[in-house]
Amino acid sequence: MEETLFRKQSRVQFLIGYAILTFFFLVFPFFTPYKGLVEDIIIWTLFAVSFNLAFGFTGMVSLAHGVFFGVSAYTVGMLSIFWTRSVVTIPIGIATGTLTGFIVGYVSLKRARIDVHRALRLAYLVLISIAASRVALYIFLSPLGKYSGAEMGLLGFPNSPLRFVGDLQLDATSRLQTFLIVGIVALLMIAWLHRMASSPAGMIMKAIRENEMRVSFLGYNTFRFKLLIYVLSAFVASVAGCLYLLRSGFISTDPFDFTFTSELVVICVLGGRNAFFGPLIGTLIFLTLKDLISSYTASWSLVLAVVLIFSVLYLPNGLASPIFSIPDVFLKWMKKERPSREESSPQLN
Amino acid sequence: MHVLIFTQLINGLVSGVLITLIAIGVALTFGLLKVVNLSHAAIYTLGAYIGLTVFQVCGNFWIGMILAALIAGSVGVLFERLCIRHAYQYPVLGFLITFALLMGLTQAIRIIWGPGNQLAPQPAYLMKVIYLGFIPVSSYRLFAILVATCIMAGMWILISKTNIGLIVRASLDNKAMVDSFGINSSLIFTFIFGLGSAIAGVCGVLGSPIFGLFPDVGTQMLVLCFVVVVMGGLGSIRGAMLAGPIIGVVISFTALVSAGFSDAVIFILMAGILLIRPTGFLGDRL
Repeated sequence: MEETLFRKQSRVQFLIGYAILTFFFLVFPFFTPYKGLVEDIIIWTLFAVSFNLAFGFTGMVSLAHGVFFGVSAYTVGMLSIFWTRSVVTIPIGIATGTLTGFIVGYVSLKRARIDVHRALRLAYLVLISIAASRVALYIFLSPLGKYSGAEMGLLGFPNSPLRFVGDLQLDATSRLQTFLIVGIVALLMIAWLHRMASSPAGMIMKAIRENEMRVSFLGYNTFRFKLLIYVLSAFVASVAGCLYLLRSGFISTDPFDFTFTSELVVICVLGGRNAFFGPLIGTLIFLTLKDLISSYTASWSLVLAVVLIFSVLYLPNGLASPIFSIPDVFLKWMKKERPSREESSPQLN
Repeated sequence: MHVLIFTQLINGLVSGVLITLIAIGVALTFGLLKVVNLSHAAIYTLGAYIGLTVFQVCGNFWIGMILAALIAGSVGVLFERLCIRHAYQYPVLGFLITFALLMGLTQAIRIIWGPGNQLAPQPAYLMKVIYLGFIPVSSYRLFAILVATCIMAGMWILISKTNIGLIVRASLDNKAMVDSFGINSSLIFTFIFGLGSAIAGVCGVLGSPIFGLFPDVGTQMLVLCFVVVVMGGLGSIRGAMLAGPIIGVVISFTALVSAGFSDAVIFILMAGILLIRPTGFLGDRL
């Protein structure tokens, strides 16, 4: 798994990339017949990018991110149905999701210390996150079943516009508002995460993934750093949960199942774990394929399994690295083209 | 009420022993290969369905068990040789591959045998109630605990008394040293993987009348297995043998309170044990 550290990216490439992203997030949803799919891709991209910060960059395999997603969506939904129809519920929901992330992260990372074998660290993280998803499933099905709608899922959310300041209202039924909110929030969040991943902090994340012991020898408190990244990605997962609730107006207990989060793992592996925008490619391919294949056959997960095995065995860096190297190759080709012409022209003369 | 408590105790012990038997496969592969083997669950389900088919075709429970062991074992060997072998160096990749295998095999089972619940095979001569003193116990459960104990004793003899067991224990301790003696440890790995899978297949046939028979039963058991393995100490077989019955009894008693409650309780128990004693009951090496 070779990759160049300190690789300089040209400003033009950066701007063009963000222009495409902005177009896709803010303008594209209005002009496509597949509005639901595109909105799903945007929300899942945000979710997968934040998950990849923990999974691909720092090397923490957590299957509990669906829990944070679900907890924040449920909190917002339940509070706005049973308490107050105001925008206040959204920060409360995000805070609840993040707090859940902190608790799960603290318990699992406290166990996965440096002096533990690498495989054991992985096992502890995976197992405690599965445990967290089971406990959350129990809590939302049984003690909170009266409010959360139990197996039926949370119904009745989209009929209630949320009060903002004065006469301003956040209306989840309005297509225009949801599109703009989802697009802008996702874009800002992704830009923020990208800034962080390309800063020295991103370097420490990758260093922890490669060899945590040496990072701690350099004087970094790896436990606190990993917890920070975990809570951060839990925070973004909570935001994605809120966006999902606003878009679809419905949340069920599906996210608490750990297979929900394992789809994220597949997305990250498919797109590329080492590249920040790998999950973007992964989500695009994954959700489109899922939509296409599910309409032909019910055995979608068989295809998924085959794709996952082949991408793990033969394409460990994902599809992102060949796709993102296209502009580089193109630029190099452009640069090579000019001198060859100048060289060839004197020969003709 | 007393009768109910004793019955639940015995039922818990039976399911605990069966879970332990499945968990031993997980513990062995984890201790030896350092791979979190999620595909074990699908192999359990495969064994259960093979038992069902054989029982429907020839009506013999024992042939079903033997065939399930053989086929599950060979599928395990195939998985190890083709896929998992490539990921020993990278725990994350190993986890991903076994997860993909779990998903694929479960879906294949769903295609072949259908997604619904099936009536699990049970020989007619075991559908009786036996009274232990005043406690009524299903004779099938007694039979299951007997077979499970025999397999466990066989495993114990294999691991602690034979040459193969010696090599396995040595590879658990120091793989490079075993290699340097000229012993092909990769063959041993494949053997252990196949053995664990074969036992999972037998467990599938034995456990399906108790735990039910549907394509996702393996995943459900796997989660319990992991709790057992973690509580006993990751990679420790004796620890799993101690933790399994405890988990089984805890599940059957909390199920008296509420059905979903037992899931939450065992996981909180696991998290608590990990916080207080990170190595589990008997795991001393980390």
